[in-house]
Amino acid sequence: MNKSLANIIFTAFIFILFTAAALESLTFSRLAQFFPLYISIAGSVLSLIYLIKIIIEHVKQSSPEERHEQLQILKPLRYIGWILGYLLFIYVFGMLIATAVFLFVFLILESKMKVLSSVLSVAVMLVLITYLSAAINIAWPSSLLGF
Amino acid sequence: MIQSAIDALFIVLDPARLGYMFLGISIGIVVGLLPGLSGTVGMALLLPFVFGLDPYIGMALLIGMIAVIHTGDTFPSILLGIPGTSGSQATIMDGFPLAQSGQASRAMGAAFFCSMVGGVIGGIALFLTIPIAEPLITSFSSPELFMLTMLGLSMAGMLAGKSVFKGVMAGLLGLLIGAVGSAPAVPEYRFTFGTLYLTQGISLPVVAIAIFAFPIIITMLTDRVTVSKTGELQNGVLHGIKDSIKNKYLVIRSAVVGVLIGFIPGLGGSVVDWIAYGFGKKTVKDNYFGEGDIRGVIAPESANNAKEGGSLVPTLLFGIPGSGTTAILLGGLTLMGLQAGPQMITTDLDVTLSIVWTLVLANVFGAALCIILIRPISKLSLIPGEKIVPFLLVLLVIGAYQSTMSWGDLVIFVIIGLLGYVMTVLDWPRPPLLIGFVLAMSAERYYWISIERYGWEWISNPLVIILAVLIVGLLSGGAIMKKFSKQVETKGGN
Repeated sequence: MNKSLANIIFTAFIFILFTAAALESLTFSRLAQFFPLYISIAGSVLSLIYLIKIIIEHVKQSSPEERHEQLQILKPLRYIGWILGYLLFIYVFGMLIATAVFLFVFLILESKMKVLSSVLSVAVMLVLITYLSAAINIAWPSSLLGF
Repeated sequence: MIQSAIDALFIVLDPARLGYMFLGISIGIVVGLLPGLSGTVGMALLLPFVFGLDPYIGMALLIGMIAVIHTGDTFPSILLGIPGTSGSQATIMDGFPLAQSGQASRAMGAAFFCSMVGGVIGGIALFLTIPIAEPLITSFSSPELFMLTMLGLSMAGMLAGKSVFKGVMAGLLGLLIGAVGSAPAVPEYRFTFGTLYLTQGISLPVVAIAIFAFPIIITMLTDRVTVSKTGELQNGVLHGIKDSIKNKYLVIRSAVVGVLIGFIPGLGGSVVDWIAYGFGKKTVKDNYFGEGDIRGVIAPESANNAKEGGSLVPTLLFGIPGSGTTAILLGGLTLMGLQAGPQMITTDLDVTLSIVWTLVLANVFGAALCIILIRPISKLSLIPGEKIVPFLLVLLVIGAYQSTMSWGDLVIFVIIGLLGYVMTVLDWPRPPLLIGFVLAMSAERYYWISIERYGWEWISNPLVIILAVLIVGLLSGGAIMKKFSKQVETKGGN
């Protein structure tokens, strides 16, 4: 995606966010609303000014390099998917099982590690987090299956 | 007083007490090393063990741990660009670029040396301020505290980078995210959308980890790079220490800033490193802060350890905790049969002085231990991204979950993380967002109390005016200096 266009879309999102927050703030009582309302109005005005500025700049861009500075989309999405998948696994199967499966599959598919190295790495990590949990009382996310 | 201090030193040097101090130091370094775990977690972990302990032993354990958390947290900040705790956020700004250029050892050598010096200065400040602490602390009421939060927020403007617009908007976004949860002035919840999790507000460690760690994780995977872009690790611990000695005045200045911020309960230690960083940026000539300037590591690292000495003054002498960590410390004092308050400088003076010595010694030993660990831990920066990231992700998920032990922490981790990633890709500065978030609650609370209690008269308070002048000076100083240096350049330096 074109970076300049992505910046316009993101700024528009920020503008909508501030505007929605300002409208939501109006529903609060007087003492609860002053801070978020002022912040949101300031953010809304600034983001609108900046949005207009970058739209004008985008239209006026003469350099084709600038206009066509591309952003990676698919690659980041793939890794974001890995993270979301890991969290989903934790939610369903619990920390230990999810971590074992996630690490093993990731190390084989993405890191291209050998099976033995992957198994050993996963085992070390599981021992470490189990030890941490026991030694310094670290809590793990709860899961549907209760592990 | 001097004789009491010498007596307290001998008490602290008792082998059994030293052993407990080393145990505290070890735990403090581990807690600092693991992103997401804070001093509060460390204190909560140790608290059950101090019940009924000899106060000297108990304090050696607790203070030993507190003293070095901001030493150990430097490792992830420099090597991975992820804050170990909320006190090492600003270290990332220059520490991580230094690690990327293969100078991780140099950055850490400087950071640990400055942490040690800062910690010792904090201990000395605690010792020196014992007799004069009361007027100092009571001179800060809500208007002055509000102005101090404004001083912190002005740092957001300084860290805006190339686009002031983006920086200010990021800061406002941080303030807005900080407004989620209960309002300080009335019993009312804001922006919670009917969820129970958001009623407590969003927790700082989750935001700090997400905004910095998430983008780095994705970038390391997409670009398939190691942290050290040069692929090599230069020896530089001594170089870093020499850098710190060369910038001794910056070290001392930043440590003093740390102590002063620490004195003030309620401001929150999370902002001290940013304020020291901002001051450093404004006062150091020919700097290139944000691009791998070693002085950008020296300033925050000198301040965050020094802050601990300052924050113990209101905690021990007035029973006013400035943070979650010191609040639990107060509980620890009670468990050991002590009571925070003026008696800490009368009947329990020897305990207070032993705390000063523990703080000083723990900083020295903690920094020495970290310096020894630099070489093996620095090798992390040479591991390819796709091999280190999955393990890092597991630790980050566990770390983020510790904030409130709710799934909401992990959902927020992903949402703020995605926001941080988009901001990184589109060159929006992230530090202003974090500063805004950290100071949102204080800004609103102190503004409201000031208006309710003093009307608009508080604006004419002398300390408020001094702080306002300082803020204006800091904000305009850079522009004036830039203009002046341009004039000198144009005239050829004549």
